[in-house]
Amino acid sequence: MGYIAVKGGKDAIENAEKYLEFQRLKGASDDLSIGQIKDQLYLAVDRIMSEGSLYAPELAALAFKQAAGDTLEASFILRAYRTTKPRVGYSLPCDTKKMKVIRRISAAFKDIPGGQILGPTSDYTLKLLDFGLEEADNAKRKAELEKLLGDIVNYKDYEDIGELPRVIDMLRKEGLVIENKRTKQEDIFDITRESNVFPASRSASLQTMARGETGGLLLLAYSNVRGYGDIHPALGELRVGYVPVMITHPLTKEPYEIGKVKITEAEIIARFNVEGEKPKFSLGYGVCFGHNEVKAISMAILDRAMATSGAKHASNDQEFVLSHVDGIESMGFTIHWKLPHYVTFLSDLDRLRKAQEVSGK
Amino acid sequence: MIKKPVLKARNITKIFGKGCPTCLDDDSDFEGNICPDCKSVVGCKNISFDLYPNEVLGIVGESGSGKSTLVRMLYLDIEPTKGEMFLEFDGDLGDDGFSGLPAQAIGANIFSAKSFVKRHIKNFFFGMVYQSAQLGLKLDVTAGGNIVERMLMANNRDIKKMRARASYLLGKTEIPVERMDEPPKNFSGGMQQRVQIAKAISNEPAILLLDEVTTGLDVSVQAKVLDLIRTLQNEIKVSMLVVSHDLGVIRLLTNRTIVMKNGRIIESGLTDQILEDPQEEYTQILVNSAL
Amino acid sequence: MNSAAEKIDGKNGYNFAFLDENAKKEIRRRILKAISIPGYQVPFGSRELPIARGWGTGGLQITLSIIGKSDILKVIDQGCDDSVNAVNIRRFIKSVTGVEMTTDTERATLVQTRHRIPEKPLTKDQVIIFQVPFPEPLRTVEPSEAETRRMHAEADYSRMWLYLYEDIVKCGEISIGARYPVFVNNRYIMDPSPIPRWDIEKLNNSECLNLFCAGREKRIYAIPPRTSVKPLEFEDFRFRIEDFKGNKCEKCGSANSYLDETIDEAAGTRHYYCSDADYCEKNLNNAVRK
Repeated sequence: MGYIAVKGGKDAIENAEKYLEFQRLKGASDDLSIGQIKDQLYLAVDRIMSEGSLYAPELAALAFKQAAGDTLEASFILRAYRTTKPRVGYSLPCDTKKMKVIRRISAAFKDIPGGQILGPTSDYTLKLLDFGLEEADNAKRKAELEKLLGDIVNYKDYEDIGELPRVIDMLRKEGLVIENKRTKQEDIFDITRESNVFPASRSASLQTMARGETGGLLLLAYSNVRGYGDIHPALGELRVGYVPVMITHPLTKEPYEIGKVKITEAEIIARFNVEGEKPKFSLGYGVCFGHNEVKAISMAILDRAMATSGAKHASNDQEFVLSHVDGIESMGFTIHWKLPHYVTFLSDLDRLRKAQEVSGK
Repeated sequence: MIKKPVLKARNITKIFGKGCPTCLDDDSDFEGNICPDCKSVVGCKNISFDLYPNEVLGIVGESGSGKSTLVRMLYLDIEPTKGEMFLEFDGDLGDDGFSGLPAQAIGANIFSAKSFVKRHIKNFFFGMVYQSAQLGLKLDVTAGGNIVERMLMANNRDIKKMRARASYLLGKTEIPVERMDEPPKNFSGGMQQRVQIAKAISNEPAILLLDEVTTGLDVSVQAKVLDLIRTLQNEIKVSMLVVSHDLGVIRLLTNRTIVMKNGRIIESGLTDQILEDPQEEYTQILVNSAL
Repeated sequence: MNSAAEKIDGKNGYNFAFLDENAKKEIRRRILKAISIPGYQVPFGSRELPIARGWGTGGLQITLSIIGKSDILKVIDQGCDDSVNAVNIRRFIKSVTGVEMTTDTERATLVQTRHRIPEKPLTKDQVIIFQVPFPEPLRTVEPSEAETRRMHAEADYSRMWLYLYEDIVKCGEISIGARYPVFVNNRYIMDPSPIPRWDIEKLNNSECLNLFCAGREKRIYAIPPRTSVKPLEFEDFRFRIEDFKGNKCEKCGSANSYLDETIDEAAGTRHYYCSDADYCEKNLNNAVRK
């Protein structure tokens, strides 16, 4: 009787889990350490933290190991962990001007105050397989690191190079850009506590995208700039670095730094609109945990695309974008079709048989 | 006996833009349809009129005079910036099953009613024929379905009865009944317009609003549509508001006429009087250019 | 129990019933609102659970929010206690609450279900929790949430009725199989979750409390006891339940239950068995006793 009589389902599930675990264990290679993943597969870790919406590199690395390298599954594990943590409070707004920048570029201007800082980028690496990495060789790895560090002792993730002016601020001073309305802190929507209602506030929209799935955001943003509603973006500024997270100290009531998080931030300058009397550039903003430029730029494009009134294309339609970019939701629902549907299928079958009977008359 | 108006419009104003005292105050006025102070566009300003039972009232004016804006406000498609509308009705307004709200709407300003009540009033009280069939019909849904939808809105739930009425109305509007289960996207413009009319009258509304219904149709098709409207008016005794830039349409259909310019009523009276002896310079130009 | 599930047994810092108390309280408040407005979809801040979205996270959040230590829980999928998904959900709830599980419909205080309502009518002391994939019955005719919320607010339902009309014109029948839209308390059109039409009448004036939740779509709604629930139908095209054409369950002989149809390919025959496993078993036991 096949599918229906999945009696003893419990054993089947437990055996399936064992079989799955076996797949991860069966190779002859050394066991992966969380440290290895965190250090050497750091972009996957960043992506999982951002889509799982929890800044926790060790846990993200653990999730990645457990999910055997599936970033959707790993983000999901991290998100499910996050949901069990009570909300103890909110940080103060992060001032990204205070970012300890490791990379910062503008495509809109050749020279920018503070200079273009290429930082750690794979933009110009040739996409050739590097056979030098083929053998795991700890001694060689150490030697290369020493060579790169040269005279540097006490290496830190970032150097304090002071606050860099924002490119957008320069345009702002000249009255060339449309200001997005600022949301008062008490009016900020919390998508982890409330369900989005449409039209969604900008704070809800940015939060939804900040934990959206990179591929989903990319697809929609790409569809826009390729021609389905082109907003004609220029990359005003892209920054990667570490920003301090501040809370109000419970005793002194003073702002207090509890740590730094690595983020990627993108600001795009798009088509000008008429605001009041004068035409001005419009802006789009994207930010996410970790180093993920594809995501931050896609998000900035969509932020601006959704502001186009009279939504015509998918990327212009706020409800469409925000309802479909979450990887955990879209993945879960798409794979749920594997669950048994035979009761409903039989009900549909009954209707079809009846309709055939009626049309035969 | 003097009949009570079925619809009373009072000081209806629609400003597109932020508005200011200059364009919003009832007793301020200025030339043109751009507010001199805040540069907002004036859609309609201080429109007041009465519509009587079984009367056909015309609204004439060139494009941009605010007549379509006015009719869409009356139909509750768009909200006025300010103003009031009162309805008088002694027929069956339909029961929504539990709230009793629609009854309260009679005699009160409809514009300030809850959206739930507005929806009910729209479904039971009004019929609307738009200039473009795309606005008034679902072109992918069968012609019969389009007509039936209107009856479904008024809580009819008997398919055979609704289909019988739809085919009767299609017959009236000279659409072959065999084409009832075909979508109107397969129909010509004139036929689509006639389906719209059949739809609008299917639940016997108290007021039928007609917005430039013949614009864009061939002259011979225009004549057919106008003829249909005239016949219907005689048969079903509905009050009509006919909006047109075409004085020929106004002459043929209406008893009384309002002339609009820049969102304001500049002249009103019996249609014959207005056409024979226009008082305002603008109306004179309009009449002369038509003849 | 496998290693991952063992980590969630309450000993390692996880709260009773997994969700933190604030989350449970908030969900219970939304449930109360849903009960107060029968058929109305209440938005809520849906939490991620260790089970995928679309796999019953809505039903789970309700169960986890209202379950107490003395509750007895029954979990079914397609009417069956042993379906893999039901087993998995039961295993998870057991690991985070330790409450008693049962397959006996009458003993359960809470029933979490996907796609069926037990044949045995539930009582006023029982709560049934439905897993909902699509909370919005109007989604078939309107993709936008902003627009469907407006349509509900204004009871602007003609497009749904028109959809049924067109269906009849095209197919001669209403083609909706499961997930048949219903009118609740003469006010809201509601999606009853993908239960077969067979189960719809069990919702009408039921003794038990019916709670519905969609985790991915973040909506809770409810049918309180003794509330009118009517399937959408026309005066001359009535709502009809599935027709089993006189077939009976080949195990217990019941002619009054929803049947699963199975195909025996080798013999070229079809077989019919009760979809409600507990109902079927009880029938069998009664027959043996007699």
